[in-house]
Amino acid sequence: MADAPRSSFIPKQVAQSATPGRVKKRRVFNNISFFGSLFLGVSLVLALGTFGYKYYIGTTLDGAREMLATERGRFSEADFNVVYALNRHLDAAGYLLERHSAPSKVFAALEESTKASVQYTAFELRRTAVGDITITLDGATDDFAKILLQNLQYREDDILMHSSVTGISLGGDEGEEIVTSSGEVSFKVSADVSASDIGYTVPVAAPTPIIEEEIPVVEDAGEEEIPVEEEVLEDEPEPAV
Amino acid sequence: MFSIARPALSIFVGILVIFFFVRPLFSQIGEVQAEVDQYEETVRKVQEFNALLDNLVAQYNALSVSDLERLEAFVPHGEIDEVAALVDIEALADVHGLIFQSVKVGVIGEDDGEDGDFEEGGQVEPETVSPGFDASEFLTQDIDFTVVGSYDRFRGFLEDLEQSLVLMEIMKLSFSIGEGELVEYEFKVRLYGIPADEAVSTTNI
Repeated sequence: MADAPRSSFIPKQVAQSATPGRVKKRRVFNNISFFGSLFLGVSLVLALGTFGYKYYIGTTLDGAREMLATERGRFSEADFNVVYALNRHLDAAGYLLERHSAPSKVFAALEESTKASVQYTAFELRRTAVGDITITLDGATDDFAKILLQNLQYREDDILMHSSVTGISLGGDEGEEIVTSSGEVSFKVSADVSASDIGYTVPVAAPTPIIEEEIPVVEDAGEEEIPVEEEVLEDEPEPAV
Repeated sequence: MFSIARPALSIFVGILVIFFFVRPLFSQIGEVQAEVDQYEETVRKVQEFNALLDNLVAQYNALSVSDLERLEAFVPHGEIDEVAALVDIEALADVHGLIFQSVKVGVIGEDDGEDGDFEEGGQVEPETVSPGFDASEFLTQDIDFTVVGSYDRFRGFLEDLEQSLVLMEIMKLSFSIGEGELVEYEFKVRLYGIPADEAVSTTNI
């Protein structure tokens, strides 16, 4: 009896043709499934994150609003108006003080520069819109050359340097068109003085207290002789006399 | 078939979530972010303004009552007290032994057209004195007066007038020498004031 041939101990292989296709399909399917899940997951995370950020930014907005309200509430409208008014007041005072002029500087310059032989009989000062000053003086002297010298003297002065002499009238001879009563030479001086040259400056020293002198009572005041300060007139001429 | 449908459904739901939830949210976030930026900028400006205001309040508190009174006397606000000014001028003339006379008080804010700055120098462009306040808005009042006396006394009077606490700007001064020592000095002085304060609303800042 012949034994039936025994099958090989090597296990029979599974049919090669069917298996690879299934594996590929499963792998592709797994990839698509994974990608789908991942996409869904990412979109859900994104949605959650966006929602969270929106909540956060809403809170930030509320905080900013609250901070603005707090900052606005630090000063009342009344406080603000008081400070605003004071600021305006100080600015206005500073503006005016800066443009405040001291015409006494013109007189000081005239006293210093006017020669003893020149006398002034009239004075006029006017302030212009920009704070400059124009002055006009009517003067008289006994010699034409003195007017020239006087004019040169003024040109050296910081305040009166822009002065000019006009209307010179030579008097004395009868028949002249312009004749002064005393035969003197009359003239006019006009000067433009810059606002910066006569700007008010705070005096360094305290003003000297005025001591009121007792004026002696004179019975006939009309005949009283008023003493003239001769020495002063000699060296320091007074423009107003 | 069912196995393919599941991932497809996941992708579809993901797309729906992105388009109908995430995208509108992003749009809203953009708007809110712009609003937050605007608020933060406003808060920054308000803080700067408050710092400035703090500084001004500190300056204000540093001023004594007498300083404030002197400021008010120097340039009054609301109205010009020409009577008080006249009393001051008269007292000053009295101190210097001058006779005070021929007083003429002008109308507030009007130049009399005879002399003074507007005729001589022409109208100038108003300058800004303070934010929201031009030089043309100053209240002005002219006062004409005459003092009679000697030149020396006049000089003293003039210097004191320039230093007067109440600001008096000398617009015109004229005199001529006659017989005797006494001279009539004709003055035109201008008083200044600032208009009454207008309430400023902080909500407009």
